[in-house]
Amino acid sequence: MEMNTRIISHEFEYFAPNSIQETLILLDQHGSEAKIIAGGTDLVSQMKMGKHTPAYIIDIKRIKELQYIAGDMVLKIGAGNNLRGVMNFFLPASVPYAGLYESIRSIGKTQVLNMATIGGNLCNGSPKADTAPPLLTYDARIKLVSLKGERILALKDFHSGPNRTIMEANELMTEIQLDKLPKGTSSAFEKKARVGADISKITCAVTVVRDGDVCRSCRIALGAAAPVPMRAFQAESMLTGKIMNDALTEETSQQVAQEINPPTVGRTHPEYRRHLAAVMFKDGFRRAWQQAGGGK
Amino acid sequence: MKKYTIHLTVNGEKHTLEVYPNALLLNVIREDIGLTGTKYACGTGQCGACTVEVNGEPVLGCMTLAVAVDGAEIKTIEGLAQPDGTLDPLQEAFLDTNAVQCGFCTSGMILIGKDLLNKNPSPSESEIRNHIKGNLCRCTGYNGITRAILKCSK
Repeated sequence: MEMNTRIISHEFEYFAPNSIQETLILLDQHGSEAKIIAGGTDLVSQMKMGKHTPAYIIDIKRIKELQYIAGDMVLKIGAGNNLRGVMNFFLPASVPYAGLYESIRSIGKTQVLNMATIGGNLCNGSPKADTAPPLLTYDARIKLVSLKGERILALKDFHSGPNRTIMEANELMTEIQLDKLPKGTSSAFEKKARVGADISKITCAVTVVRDGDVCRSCRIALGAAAPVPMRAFQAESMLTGKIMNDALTEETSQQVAQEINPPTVGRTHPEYRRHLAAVMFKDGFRRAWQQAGGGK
Repeated sequence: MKKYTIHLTVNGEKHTLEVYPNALLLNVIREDIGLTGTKYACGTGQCGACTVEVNGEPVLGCMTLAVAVDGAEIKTIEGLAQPDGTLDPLQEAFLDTNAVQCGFCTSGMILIGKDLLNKNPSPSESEIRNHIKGNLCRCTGYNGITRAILKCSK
């Protein structure tokens, strides 16, 4: 289809359910021919370009049941929260979750942060989704609900390929769950894009648990580095329980570069992306390490 | 395709409209309501020229389904001046600092600048540049625009 960004040229029927239950009934009836819309910042532009031509649009933006952030030992984030709300929640005492705050801030555009939701950023399935790497380093879980029941799974198992997820057509993502992070934890997010407020060329999130000079654990995740947002498990294992020094950070950064699986098409050369992955990791690790040590 | 009846309050004036579900808020404002101050430029959420306020928050009109904002209060650039034509201080500042060249980004720039000043009456230059990141201007190099918002910073 020829691209026309002024209008959406194809026709669809529109539903605006008021509850999760109503949404699930609609998804059960129309799921395979329907698309869920929340902020629309990804879907509307994809519809304009003819990438999606759903017969039904189910708008979940008005469902208050999906808009909450609560919990102590397990922090539960409703999938319908807009990104600005999530960013502001993590603003005041953000040290452990600084990476998530920074990832949303990097999206930059005020209007997009008002419109887009955290659930949408994940469900769109993009390997570049900015919130995915920090959430992966927190071992986030997601809740998928359908009329048949609910399942909770690790975010690392959610994306199945570029712009694809394992979500069934009758399912709705309702919640993202984060375990409380241990004392001495901090995180950071690094992003390289062509210009400010742009789609990522590569991103890296690092979460460290620090005890003096010892790295108790380190979790590393990258976006736009493989067909799906990914963890760099082998690089992580190099740091567990180690006394940190610059040589070890350097060695680990080379492992991160090896571990990614960059696309061979597109405007960024795979070798450049590997180089960037190492640099992004080093920058992110140093900042997270310092924050975890109270600035030292 | 079925039409939907929606109610919008635009710059304080109530409108009842019949729209198709694939109608975009930007086009409804420009073509059905006839307010052409809000601009269509990229159409893909990159440039911010179509910025309007929905229930007090700036959003992209070209990426918003009109049917999805049924019942909303909307403010466009036309709603900023007083009814007697007295310009908003930020509009005056844009004139004073030569923040306008071709003018295509101006509506969006003023609305996003206004949004910042409402939330933070005394923003710094870097806070201004960060807040207007999603609005592109291909003429001015942003300096006049930044100066205009800075001029209204208390």
